[in-house]
Amino acid sequence: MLPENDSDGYHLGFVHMALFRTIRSQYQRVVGDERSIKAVVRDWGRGHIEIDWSPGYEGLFEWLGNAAGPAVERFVAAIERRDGPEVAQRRFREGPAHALIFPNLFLGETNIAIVQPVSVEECVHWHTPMFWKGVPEWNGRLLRMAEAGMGPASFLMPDDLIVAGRNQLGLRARTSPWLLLGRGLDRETVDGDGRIVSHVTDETTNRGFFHHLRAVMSEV
Amino acid sequence: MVSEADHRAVADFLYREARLADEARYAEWLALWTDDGVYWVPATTEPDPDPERQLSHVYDNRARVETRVKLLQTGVRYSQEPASRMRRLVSNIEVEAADGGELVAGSNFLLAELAVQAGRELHWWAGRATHRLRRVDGQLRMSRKTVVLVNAAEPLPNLAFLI
Repeated sequence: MLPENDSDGYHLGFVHMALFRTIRSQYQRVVGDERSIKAVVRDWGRGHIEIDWSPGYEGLFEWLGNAAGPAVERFVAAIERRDGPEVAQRRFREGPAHALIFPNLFLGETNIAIVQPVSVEECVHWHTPMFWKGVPEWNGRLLRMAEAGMGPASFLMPDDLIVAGRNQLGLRARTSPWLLLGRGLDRETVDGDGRIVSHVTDETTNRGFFHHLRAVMSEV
Repeated sequence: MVSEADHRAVADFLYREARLADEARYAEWLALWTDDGVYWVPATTEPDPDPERQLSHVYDNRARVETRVKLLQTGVRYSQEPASRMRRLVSNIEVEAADGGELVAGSNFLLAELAVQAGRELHWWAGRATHRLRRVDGQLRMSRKTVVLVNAAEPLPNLAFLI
């Protein structure tokens, strides 16, 4: 359930409403009127799934709280020298991946997490921020972002965990054994690399994860 | 050493702070902070952790403490909606004088939390708190609160309430 949650674009507007009502964040672009949301989800196959926020980003470093200042300028200049201005600018706009590598490795933009199963109804979500080589002055910002997003006292994860807990209780219900993961089936497309792409609120990632889970759990 | 009167005032402050946190009286709890307050819950039990190099559970400046409280006040902070039922004991209080007329208080706590948001689970939290206190307009205020949980480095359930 937590791997699915890590790469689900639908729950944000509901589960994290407290945050959106309180402060501005890079996730602001994925709540509100569905038609104005440009982010997409991708099913890479074999259970690997991704949210791509970047179609919704216009400026650089929106994913990093619109970071600016001398340290950012030095970093930008260094990466432009290394990769060329065009590639560098694109990376600064798009930001790092938000993806689940099947079965339990989560790349959460500037964080890395793993989901460790403990028992049928229990798992641990371990996380760490990424630190970037050569820019130690960014470590504080990356730490504060990790603490805002990922821990048991953060502004995001506790709400995910409690809703996951409620869902876990819901699994005990015997009245309806099926849960339909059909959202967006009618508007998925396949891109040139064979990946299934759809609107960020669609259950494309959930389907991708569970299709593959079923496949690997069914093999003799 | 501090005077009996100071010790008494600090103990009263710690009990009050604990009660306001226990009872989810968020605005009153926020009013106990100075404008430059730092609220810190390390994610390690190592001595002398560095919050600029090591991950913390909480490392809030005053602005982030306010964000934390505002989230709890939205009514849609599901991890604390409804708020956990809590009571904590505060004990082993030691008070020392610090620079600038401030007082530093160490204390142990044991907190029973009934987490009612999904199942109904009783969680026990224990640790040591260090409060740095300053008189502002004659009233003691927190300029720093550090909470080192005995299990700070272990997997934890939700800690969305005010510890």
